[in-house]
Amino acid sequence: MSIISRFSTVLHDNPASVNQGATRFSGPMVATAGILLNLFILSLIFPFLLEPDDRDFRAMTESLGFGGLFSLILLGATLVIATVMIPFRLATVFLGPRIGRYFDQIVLSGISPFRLLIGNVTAQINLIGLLLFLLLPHVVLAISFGGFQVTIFLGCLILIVSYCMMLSLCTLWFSLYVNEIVAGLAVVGAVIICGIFGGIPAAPQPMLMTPVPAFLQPVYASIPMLANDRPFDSFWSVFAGCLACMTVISCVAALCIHLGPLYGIVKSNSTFGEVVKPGDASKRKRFRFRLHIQRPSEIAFLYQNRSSFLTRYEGFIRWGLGFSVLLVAIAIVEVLRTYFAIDTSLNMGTRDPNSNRRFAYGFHTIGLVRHGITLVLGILLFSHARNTTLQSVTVFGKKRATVSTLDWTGFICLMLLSSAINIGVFLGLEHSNAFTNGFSLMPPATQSTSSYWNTIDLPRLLYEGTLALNLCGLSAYLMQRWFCQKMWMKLVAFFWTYVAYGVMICGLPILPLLIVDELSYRGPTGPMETISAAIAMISPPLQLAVIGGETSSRIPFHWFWWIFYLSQALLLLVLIRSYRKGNRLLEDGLLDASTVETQIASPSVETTT
Amino acid sequence: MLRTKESSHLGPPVVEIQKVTKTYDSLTAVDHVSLSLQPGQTLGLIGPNGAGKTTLLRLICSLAKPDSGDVLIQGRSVVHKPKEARSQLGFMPAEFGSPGSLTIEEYLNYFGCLHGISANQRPARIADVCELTDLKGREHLTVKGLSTGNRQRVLLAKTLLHDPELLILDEPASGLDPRARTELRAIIRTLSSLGKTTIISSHILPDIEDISDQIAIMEAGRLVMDGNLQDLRQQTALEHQVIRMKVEQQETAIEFLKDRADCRSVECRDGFLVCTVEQLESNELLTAMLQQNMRVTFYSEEQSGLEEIFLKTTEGKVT
Repeated sequence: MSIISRFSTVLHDNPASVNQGATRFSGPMVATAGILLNLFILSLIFPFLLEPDDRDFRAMTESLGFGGLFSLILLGATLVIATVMIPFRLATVFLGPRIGRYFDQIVLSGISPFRLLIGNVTAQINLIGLLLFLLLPHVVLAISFGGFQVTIFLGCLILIVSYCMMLSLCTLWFSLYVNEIVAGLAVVGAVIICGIFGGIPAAPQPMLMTPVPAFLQPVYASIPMLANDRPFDSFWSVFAGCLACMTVISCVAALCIHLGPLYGIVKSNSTFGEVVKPGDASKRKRFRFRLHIQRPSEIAFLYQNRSSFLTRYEGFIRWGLGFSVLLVAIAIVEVLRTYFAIDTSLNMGTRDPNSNRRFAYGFHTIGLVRHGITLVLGILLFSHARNTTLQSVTVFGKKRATVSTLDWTGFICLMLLSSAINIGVFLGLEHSNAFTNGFSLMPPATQSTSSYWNTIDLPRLLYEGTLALNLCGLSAYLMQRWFCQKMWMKLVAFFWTYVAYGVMICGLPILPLLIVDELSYRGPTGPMETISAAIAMISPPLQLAVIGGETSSRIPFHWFWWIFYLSQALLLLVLIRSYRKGNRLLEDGLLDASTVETQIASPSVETTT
Repeated sequence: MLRTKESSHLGPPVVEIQKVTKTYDSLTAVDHVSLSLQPGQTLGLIGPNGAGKTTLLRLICSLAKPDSGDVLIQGRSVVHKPKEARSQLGFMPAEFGSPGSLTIEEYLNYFGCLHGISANQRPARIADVCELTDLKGREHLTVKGLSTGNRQRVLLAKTLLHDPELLILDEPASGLDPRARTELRAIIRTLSSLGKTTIISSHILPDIEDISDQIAIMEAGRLVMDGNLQDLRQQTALEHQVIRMKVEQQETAIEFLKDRADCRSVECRDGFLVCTVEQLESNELLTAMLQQNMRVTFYSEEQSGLEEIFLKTTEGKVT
């Protein structure tokens, strides 16, 4: 059977569709959808009813016609109701079988998580159909109010369907990691934020992950006051952008559902899969609540019921994919940076040395920012929580490695590669024939002018900046891994790393300097300024600012450049010691179950072929 | 159509439990249990509450992971190849769970779809299992409103849908009335005749005695004893027979019996002469008494039952 026909079978013949087919439209569901839809339509119309003579309202009705405006309100109400209903309809994906006491039966059926979950996505088509059916009388009303542009209306409907699919897939994706209710709330919160920002009439508008910019484009196009701030000139350009963005997010979510979460198995202490941590049996049920799902039966379902291909090439697919995505993102940024450098060199040449130095400064700063963001993403991507970090996975063929080893390898490779790209792009451009007119990315300071740009040490910015970022990245990564040894979710560990590194290492050392700076306006501060400057040099952002020549020359920061390196070295030593100790404790704690976990988590090649 | 197989007790074992151990915190729920079952055999798993029967069933089903040891289902390890092992077994849980208010047909259709039975094969398969479990004509009934007996039938039908080689039934007769129990026994016998290997956990010992080829007794996580009923009798030294008779010359008969070396005890009870003897050939004692010209008006030989064996082997310890 071809892949397409297999996929089509999965879409229409899956348990969720069969179940939905049996209980398609219940009375309460139709009533709830009808009441909510009318409520949202009213709430969107209400502001216009309060001020019917509002200038913008009149401009909109003159431009779009009342029918056109009403049709957009109908679409907006449908969008809101989908946002509210879909994530919570999906909250029963795991919860329902668990409460209904048939989750074990699902596990034993051997169904793949993708096949089970994808049915819940396609089943949302029923809800969309119901909403469109309930909209019909309103659409007739909109036509009678003067009509609307059918193509735009249909375009918006396509976006709503696409949005619903994205919403479903993202909710299910998060449901693999956290409790479904939390996943639903997180997705609703995220799309509300994206929708609000997407509704801001500003150009450029990057928040295309909801249909809001497309719905508002005709409205903004009708308001003369926004003539200069329209994010998009035509509906179809924003339509294409939103559709592409939502499709990409949906595909990523579907891929992540297909891959499943990489779960380590904690030593369970209940026969029936309700208890997830030792000691839970003695706790009351409400105190056993966990954000994450780690019940053995869920792990069995999400991990063991996948296709054997995914299990056989677990490490290669998971780490390789993550690494590749980051590399592609780096490549895109670097291609754009190179393009702008070449384009600028053609326009600028050597006419203005200051402009050349300014551009070179911007070029290297963007490179460092890109490198820094890469390291942050690497920290998040190449770390796993305590239950997973010691798990052994098949990398390729018969090669196996622990998650911890793969994480270390991935992060170190990413750090070195990203540094090499940062410096390599500069060297490549500088030493090739890219700039033929004397333009340079490392122009020497001109002695004749006393420009600010002449004070910046560009080689130091590039080389020392990259080195400093790498040191910070390494210490932050070690900190994240140390927190991961204590936490059951890496996102929680990331939050604490952010707090510890961002506040304690980056923010706190600067505080005395800020106080002394404030006091200096009242009178002389004596040696306090120098001492506080020395303390402040512990902070990585200040060190980067010093390297970039962004600090005041009044305070002698350059005397204390070594403090940053010393503090980072000390921090690294402390973190390495803590990490190794944490690893030993983790190994001891999981020793009983580790052999079984290893076997269960990653069947050997012979067993899966 | 459910596949019919010649029942063969000589082939490779369908299920092989190899020294499995499972602990929860400091509690050992299953302790080094080993068992194997040939195709077509029915194993009755008995034991007091908390003996570890359900944990053992969950280990066999791959719903729990053994701390040590392994379970092979048709040669497939539940630890190393859980997905493949799952396709070979059908598990009937003690609790009935249903997704929403479905009819029997919708319920079976849902689980058929879960098992990957294609949409065009499902109606025929559902009809087959409904016929086998005596649900034919009741497919339109809502599962939530069914009686306990019918719910057990539906669960069994669901367990049979994908035609598994190994059936694991956890307390299938729990809450059933005598008629429903008899019908369930008949269904299990039919399945056994179709070549299905079955493991049944139950507290209803007469049912187990009636339908099992092999019996395993568990207590405090350990396998106390296993084998067929005769083996168990021998293992528990319950090899004696209880003979109940009515003899006209009662005093002479008592003297005669007391003189026999194989006789352990003789007593008069409710007008009957009850004597306990070591295992004898059928009617051996009767023949001997008739040769002594005694008039025997009633003679009955009784074997020790599973209940007696169970009570003798277990002490009521829980894990």
